[in-house]
Amino acid sequence: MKKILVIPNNKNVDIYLDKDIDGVILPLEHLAVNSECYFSIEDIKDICQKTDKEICVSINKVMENKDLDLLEKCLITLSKMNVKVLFYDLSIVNINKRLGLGLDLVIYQDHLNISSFTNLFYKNRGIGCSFISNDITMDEINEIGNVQSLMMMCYGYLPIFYSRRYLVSNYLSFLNKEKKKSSYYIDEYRIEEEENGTAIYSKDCINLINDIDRLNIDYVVLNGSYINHDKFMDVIDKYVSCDRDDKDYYKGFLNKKTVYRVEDYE
Amino acid sequence: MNKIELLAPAGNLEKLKIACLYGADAIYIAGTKYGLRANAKNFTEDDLKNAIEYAHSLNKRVYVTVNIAFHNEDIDGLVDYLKFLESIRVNAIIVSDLLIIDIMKDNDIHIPIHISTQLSISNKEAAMFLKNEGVERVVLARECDRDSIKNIIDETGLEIECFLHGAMCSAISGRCVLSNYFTNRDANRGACAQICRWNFDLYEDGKKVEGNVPFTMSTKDLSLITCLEDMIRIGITSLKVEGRMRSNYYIATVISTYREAIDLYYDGKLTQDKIEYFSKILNRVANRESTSQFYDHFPHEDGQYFVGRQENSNQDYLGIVLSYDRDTHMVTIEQRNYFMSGDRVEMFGPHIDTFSFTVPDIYDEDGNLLEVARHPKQVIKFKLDYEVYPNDIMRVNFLE
Repeated sequence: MKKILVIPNNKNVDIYLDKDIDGVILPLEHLAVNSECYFSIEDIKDICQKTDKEICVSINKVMENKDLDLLEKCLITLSKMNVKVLFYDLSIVNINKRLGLGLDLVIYQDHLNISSFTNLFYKNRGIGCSFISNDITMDEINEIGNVQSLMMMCYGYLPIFYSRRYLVSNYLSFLNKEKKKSSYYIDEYRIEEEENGTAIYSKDCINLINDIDRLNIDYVVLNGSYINHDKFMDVIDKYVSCDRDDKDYYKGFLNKKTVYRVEDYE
Repeated sequence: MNKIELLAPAGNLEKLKIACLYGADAIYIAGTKYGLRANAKNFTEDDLKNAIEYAHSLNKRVYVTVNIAFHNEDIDGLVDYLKFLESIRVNAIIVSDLLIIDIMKDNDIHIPIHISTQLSISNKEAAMFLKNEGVERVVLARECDRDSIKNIIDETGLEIECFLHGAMCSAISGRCVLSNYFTNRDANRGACAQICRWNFDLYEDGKKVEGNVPFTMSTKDLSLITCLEDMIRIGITSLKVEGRMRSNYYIATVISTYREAIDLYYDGKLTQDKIEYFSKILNRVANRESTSQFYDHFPHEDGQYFVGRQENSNQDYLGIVLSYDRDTHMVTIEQRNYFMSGDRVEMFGPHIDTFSFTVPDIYDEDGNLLEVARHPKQVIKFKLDYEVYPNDIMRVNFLE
């Protein structure tokens, strides 16, 4: 099981690369969402040149027509580098095929793509790995893991909402107040406005350190976004050394099913 | 020239009939499984058969939503269900989970596929991917603007469906599981608890932001009556009205209004005065403010709804016609909201031009003179010189 990091700070990249981890996820500026920091193509080239670790580039925004020129240029550049590309939008599959880029694609659709059949659909179209949702149970993840190579977020705040709108700015504008460079919360859920819209994250930080041995996944993803630096460094060390403990960490839906019919929740 | 399709929602068979009568070209519905309104009444298999027979007898099309994000446990029964839908000749299924493409191929099932807005298709490359998978139509993301929609139509040749009217998700469709995390109700399997319409305190650096209204993500409703002509001109195939859980009155009002507007456009008679009149009707029926959202501008504060949950129940719907006696000119209606003799009201329906009149003396079923019609579902009779038909609707006066 490989361990890879979503790097939360583009000033300290070397510190993370020095850890005994297998790779990093680098969100691409302008074309990714849900990250504390983003990297330019030039940054990514530089990082690729100074490490042998696996480099994954996250390009996970819903693409608009106006993004396509930049997207195509970036994909062509990335196709000449030894990287995996994590994607949300199906435009990336189409461009990859149309231009014959041969990109190593990982589907990363947050809350969709949550059955074995759906994963097989993408696998049959050359997508050899899925970044699986945290909204499903361990049994479901393990079944899907039998048919597809999986990445999974095992540590970090989970993205649970993304709007194209600037929700905090809109509200503050309605109140005739200015938005500051601040952290905002609703009911202890972090709400972050960024270039492409507004994200909300889970109230609690997921931590599956005590469960990863029972997960049928290939990549353990540790996401340092919005985590204190020292704390995240400790977490990385714990995962690297498989240092389990007896604490009751937040596990999302790993052991809990959602419900969807009135009779299920009445 | 093909006329643009007016696509109506229906949460049950009665609503489907209302939508058909009031001018929808096509109706989208859900069976009891696999739809994103798990707690609407929805359609049993018998209802689905009856709905399709009824709609097809009027040359209307029926699309069935199969648009949940499937979990493994949802797959059992899916093939049989798709075969059933094929056997009753649904015109298309609306899908968000692409596993259905392979399941249909593997099982030799042939039903046209429309891609749900849950996949948030917002660009021509993603649309082309789906076209190459054999998809017939894409329902574009609500966040698409006019130029993007036109470009996707021009570049892909796909049938493109766009939202025309109704409630909006605040999030990009498919990218919201607030409901799962706040209430354990699965948003992508039809149990969304609409957390985006809740009120919250917003905290800035740990301190509550003080204001006269609480924070909410809630958006105003969508209404594109003012953009309708442009939407037709750029080549959209289908215009979708949201609201499978809305009332019969809402469906009748919204569908009949857009029906008239579309027909007037093709007749070259859609004037600014008419658009303003239609806007007035549409604005009243939902009791929430509406805007054009992303179609003609990027929505900022103007696209959101910060006044809290203060919608009043709609009392415009006064009654529905049960029968009309041509000999005596007596109309029989079933009451829906309070009205009385002397009120100015109007009547609209699929077979009549909307007209205003003053309510004359009113009587109960036994012929007793009444002062007011105050009881819901009370049967009321009165004399009316204009012929009306069953399912015509009496409402408050908009014309004058």
